[in-house]
Amino acid sequence: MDRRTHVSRRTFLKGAAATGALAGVGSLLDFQPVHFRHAQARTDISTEVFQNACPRNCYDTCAILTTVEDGVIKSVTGNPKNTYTRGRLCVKGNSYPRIVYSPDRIKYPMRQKGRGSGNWERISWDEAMTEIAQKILDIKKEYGSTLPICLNKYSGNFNLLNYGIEGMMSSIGYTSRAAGTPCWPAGIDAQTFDFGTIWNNDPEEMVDSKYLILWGVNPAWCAVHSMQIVLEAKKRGCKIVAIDPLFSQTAVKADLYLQIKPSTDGALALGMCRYILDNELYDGDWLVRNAKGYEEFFGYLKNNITVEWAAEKTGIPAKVIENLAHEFASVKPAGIWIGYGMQRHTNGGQNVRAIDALVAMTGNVGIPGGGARYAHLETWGFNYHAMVHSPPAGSLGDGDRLINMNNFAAEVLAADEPPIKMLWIACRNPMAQDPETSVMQKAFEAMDLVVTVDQFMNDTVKMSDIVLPCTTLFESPGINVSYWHHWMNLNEQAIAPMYEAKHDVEIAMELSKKLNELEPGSCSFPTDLTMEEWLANEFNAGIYQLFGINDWRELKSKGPVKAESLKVAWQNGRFRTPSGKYEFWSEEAEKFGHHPLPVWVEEYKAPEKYPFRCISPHWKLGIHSQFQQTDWMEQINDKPFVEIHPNVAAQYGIHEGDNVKVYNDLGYVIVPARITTATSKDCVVVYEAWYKDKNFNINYTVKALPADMGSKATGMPGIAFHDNFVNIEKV
Amino acid sequence: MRLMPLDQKSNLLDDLEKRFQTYLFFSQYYAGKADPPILSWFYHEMDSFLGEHPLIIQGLDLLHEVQGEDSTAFRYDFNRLFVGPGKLLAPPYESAYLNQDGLVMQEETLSVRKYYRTAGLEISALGREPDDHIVFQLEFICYLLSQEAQALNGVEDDHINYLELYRKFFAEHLMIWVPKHTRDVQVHSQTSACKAMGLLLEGFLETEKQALN
Amino acid sequence: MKGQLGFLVDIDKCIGCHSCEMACKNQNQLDPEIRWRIVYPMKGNSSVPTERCFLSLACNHCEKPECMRVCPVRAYTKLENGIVFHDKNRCIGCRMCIMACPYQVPQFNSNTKKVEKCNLCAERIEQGLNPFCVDGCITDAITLINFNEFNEIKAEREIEGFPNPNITNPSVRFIPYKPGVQIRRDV
Repeated sequence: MDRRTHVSRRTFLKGAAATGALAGVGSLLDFQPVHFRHAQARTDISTEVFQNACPRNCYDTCAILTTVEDGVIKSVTGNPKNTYTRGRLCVKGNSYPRIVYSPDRIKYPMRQKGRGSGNWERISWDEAMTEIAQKILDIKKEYGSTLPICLNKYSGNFNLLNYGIEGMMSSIGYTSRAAGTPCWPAGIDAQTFDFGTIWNNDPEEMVDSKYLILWGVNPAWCAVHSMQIVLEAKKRGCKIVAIDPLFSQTAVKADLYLQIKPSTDGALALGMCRYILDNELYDGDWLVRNAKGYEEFFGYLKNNITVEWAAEKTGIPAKVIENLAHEFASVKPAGIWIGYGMQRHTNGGQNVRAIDALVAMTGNVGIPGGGARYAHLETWGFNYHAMVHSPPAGSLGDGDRLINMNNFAAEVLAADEPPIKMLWIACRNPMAQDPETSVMQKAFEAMDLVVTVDQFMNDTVKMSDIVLPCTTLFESPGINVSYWHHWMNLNEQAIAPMYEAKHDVEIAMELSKKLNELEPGSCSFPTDLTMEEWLANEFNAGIYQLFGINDWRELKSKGPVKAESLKVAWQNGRFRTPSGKYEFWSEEAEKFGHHPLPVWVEEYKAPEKYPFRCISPHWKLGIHSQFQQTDWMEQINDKPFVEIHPNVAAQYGIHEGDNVKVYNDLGYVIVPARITTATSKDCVVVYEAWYKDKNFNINYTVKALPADMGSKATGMPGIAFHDNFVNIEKV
Repeated sequence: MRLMPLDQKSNLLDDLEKRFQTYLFFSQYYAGKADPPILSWFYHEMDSFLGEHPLIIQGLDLLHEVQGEDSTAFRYDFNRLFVGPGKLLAPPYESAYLNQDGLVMQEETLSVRKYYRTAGLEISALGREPDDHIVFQLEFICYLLSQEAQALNGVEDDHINYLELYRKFFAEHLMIWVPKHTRDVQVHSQTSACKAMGLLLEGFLETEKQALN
Repeated sequence: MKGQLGFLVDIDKCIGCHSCEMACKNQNQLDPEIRWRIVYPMKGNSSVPTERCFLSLACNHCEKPECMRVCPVRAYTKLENGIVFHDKNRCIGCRMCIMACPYQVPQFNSNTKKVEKCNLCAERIEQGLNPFCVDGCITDAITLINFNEFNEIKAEREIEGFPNPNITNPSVRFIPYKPGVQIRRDV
């Protein structure tokens, strides 16, 4: 008889009691399930609609309506009350439910034994907080300050409350901070020198333009709701001109497309200015009333710029430049939308200043339908209550130590006295998105502790010691505004947070509690506020007045609201420059080491070894490392590619779909070729994105080369992402 | 020994007890409460009434090796399969297998929720954890079996036919997806402990399926 | 509503953003591999590169639907508003329709073992609403039209890349792309 044939119930139960393994979990006749409760009585299952706000780093920052049934999201759609969103979501927004309910979300706090080992153990929030808090206190003790702790947080979620993570860092003392922005700083500085700050007209009134130049911007991919406005303007008779080194999706819709040599935008603008000057097409009245230094600028143009020279620099025939300048200066209102792509160069800021000058000298500043439209922060005047906190009493040091976000890895490694020993990463994926990936790897390896807060496993989580799960936009409240349109969207909590996910502010409160428990007085971050209270604390009289409400709770019934008074930027002629005028001549610029005038600065040229400029623009199915990895997106496109001009492809023996190695001194990527006339012979194009389970990252080739501007407004210069030079070969 | 059909009254309480303890053990395992020493105890105590399904024999042979196995290796393997933070290699959610989109909290999850409500229950983490997590499903069955036993003992006086509910839930949920899940466990587990538990669960369910028919 | 409903696709307005396709997928909760509407990239020519113009296509709700003709179980019916309605309950997944449709519209769902396709949001039409793709299109490039009243002269019945419409007479019309002036390097 087999040994497995006899057992009595009693023997079994005795065994169970003996080991104690299952003690207390109950017996057949007396069992209380631990994971259940009595069902609440309910007559019917309710359907509710919540307001949400897309918090991504995107021009469109959409208002969403979320339908929830029995606590579960059924669908999302655009909120028609926000006339910019117009009730429509983009391809990314429509895929949201798949992110919330993916079984692969990070669900619980987890600790990895050996960075990159994949050996993870589940820990409680309390254990996680204890370990982190203990490390913070140990560091403080060993180094005498909290400077060895470094925060790298940026644009993964622009909900105002997510600034609570910066607040938490401030609450423990002076720390090291990734400062600056990889995105748009050169252009911000340029406009800050010219206007005093960035402020663009309401994009919805672009329909009133008579002439619109889309300069280095691709709204058909990156701001689809604005592309609708552009097409509507076109329908109403506005001439649409696109200027771009790439024949982009936006450019194919333009009445006139100019394929400019990369990084020579300033030369084109200055050439146009010279033509306008020579032909007296400028708005002299406007200049007299509003501008400082235009005489000097005119002098510069006369002495240094000709249309022929501009044609030579830009690759655009002189006749075309003259024609463009003539048209632009002869119609009003005429506006220019300046993209972020064109300022990611070593002369990017100067190029933006030159374009600003073109708009200003034609008197198109401060009028509806006109403007040098770049971005704005006018609706962002919240309290930043979650963000601004004082260090605890007795903190040593005289302020945070700034680490250039755009050269993060190298600066972390170089930091000394004290060195950086701990990283906290939130709303970012630096292992995938930053330049010089291999240096980043080394920086992570040099840490004592890496904490990452995220929703999904990615390259950065893989290199972390502790990962903390954070909520999606549907699971926490918040408030969102855009750096482009003028709306404010309330974000309501539509569903309970899944698993053990917490919002950044809740994480900050947990950590603060733990720090104070271990060492009273070691953290000043408040621990007793509800999320609604945190939200309420962000509002002030200025915001209420700007948006025409008396209390933020009104948004619950009213829906999104718009700051109507901001509609036309600089209409009152009061510029925020030192002189109060539009400054062609900027002493501020000079202070920061630039020529005071918008002058031509030579573009960065291809070194002999690496003849191709590798442009890495945004991709239409994702934003940075978000969205492209979801299965719905993968059905549309599941692989990265490099765009190569047909002549270049022929020269290198490359056919459509062939694997191509794109390389330089820093590193390489291997991607299939897509042969297209959308690019030119001197450029290859790789769209930056993060693909799940693919060893693709264009940033392996990108050097942390600074753009010319950015230090004044954002603390650090931008990155010249598009001054990346490579060679290619078929593999 | 094979599990007796549930409707043979003479053995009913005993049979309920065995099923109850087995389900309870698997639910404890999936709740992360087991480790190699406990599994090894399981091997010694439990093997005798799990039946002789080939998968069970195979699983028990494998479990025999568990005693010497490293607890941490088991824990990492367990997390890779069922917990995260990476893409789950054997997701413990019914919907991950049955939902056309591979999403949780969809029709499949809500159908499980409805079952719980039929028995007057809902998960305490309603809306936060998917209702169809295997721990909940196994614990729910324990509850049904316990209620049935109490009814037999005259403790509970209820109109719900718990046994029938169990049969239906077993056929319409557990049996539909858990074998797919345990096959994922076979493919992806790196330790004997996880692999053995997958085999045992699948073998047990197969045996039970026959017993219930 | 009687007549013949269909789509007017304005290629000149379409920016290939896939929002129509994703709105359909989101609202109808489709499987990842199922696409009732597909935004097809068009081949380039001297005035436009490949993948800069697009054909956004769903079911064309043909006047003479081949799918309906070949279906052995009558899963397809032509409604009085012209919608070619596919009844999943009747479908046996034989895939005859997939072979017959000149536009590769019906798709086989390997989970349900049945065919599925766009029913032009028939329930929404009954409520006087637009199909999800029409409401989801960011640039208003897709319009629901009734051929009984439709007389847009710019609309074309044939367009490059779209199969010969003479077999089934599809209920779809196109407004072609009108290129602007281009000053391009290296062409």
